[in-house]
Amino acid sequence: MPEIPQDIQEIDKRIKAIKAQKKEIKNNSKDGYSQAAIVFQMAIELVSGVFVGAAIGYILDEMFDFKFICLLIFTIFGGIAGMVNVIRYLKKVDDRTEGK
Amino acid sequence: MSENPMEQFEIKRLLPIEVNGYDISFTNSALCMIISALAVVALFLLCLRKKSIVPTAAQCVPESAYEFIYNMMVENVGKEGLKYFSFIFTLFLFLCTGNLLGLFPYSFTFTSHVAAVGTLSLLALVLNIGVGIKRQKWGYLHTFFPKGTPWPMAPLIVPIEVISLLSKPLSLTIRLAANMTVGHIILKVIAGFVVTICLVLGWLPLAFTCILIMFEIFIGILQAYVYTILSCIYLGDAFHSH
Repeated sequence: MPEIPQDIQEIDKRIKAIKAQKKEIKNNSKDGYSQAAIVFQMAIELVSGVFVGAAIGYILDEMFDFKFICLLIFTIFGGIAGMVNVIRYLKKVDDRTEGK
Repeated sequence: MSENPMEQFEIKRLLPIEVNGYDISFTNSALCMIISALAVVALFLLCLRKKSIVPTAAQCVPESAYEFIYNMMVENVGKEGLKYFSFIFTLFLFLCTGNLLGLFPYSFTFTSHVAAVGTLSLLALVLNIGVGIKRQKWGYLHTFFPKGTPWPMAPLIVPIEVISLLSKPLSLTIRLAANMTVGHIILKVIAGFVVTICLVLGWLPLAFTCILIMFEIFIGILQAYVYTILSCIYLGDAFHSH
């Protein structure tokens, strides 16, 4: 097997060092997730869940003349859906930051 | 320019058109969308005029954007999701250009309008559902009722999952529209102070506005990125859900 020249070995070493450095920077930056962005996204997920639930409830009330019963039930469902979305989002953030 | 910071978001009819009682006028928002799309095409044509194996500085711009979105899709959707690359790539470039275009004086930020961004989000939702049905057929219904869940739980789980799915485009839309609206209002308010405060503080307010504009450029690109990555994640859900 031919011996690898010294300068090629040197370049290989440097490439590996740069790759390791890049990997470290990526891990430290938490893959683009800042704490503020996470909190903002959590708030939006919660609000949009409640909003969509309330909208569905309102439409059903208007269609079947239930007098606010659907609005009440679906707003609660929307709140729960918002929380489910928040939990799923946080799980995704957690998985990505841990590099799973 | 107007003094009211909210006036910049007003839709103005440029070409009034009415069909069967429906107002489908050509507005300043539509004009900016067309300019945004044309700007991307022009940039790509200009940068890729002389193609070479060793890319020039100009050729690097579209190639970097392509590689960036390609890696994002491979990471979040997987190699099998690359057939929808053109949609995600177009989405990113359109929104990014739209966000940046809004920073020009007398321009209009169409991405600050829920109607414009909401339509794109609905498109992403339709794609998500379409891909899910295409790949999993009837199995896609398990998105609303995961396998292994006891049947008596169905009246609770199904509405929650349906709302959870439908709230995704809304959260995408609010996030982008809110960021763009707030950023532009702050910019306008601070810029409005420049003339009055410069009598006391000299060039300082102007410098502050310049920093704010640079920050807004960063926010515009970042928000387009976040919107795209979340769309990718939703698309990925259609590929790998339950």
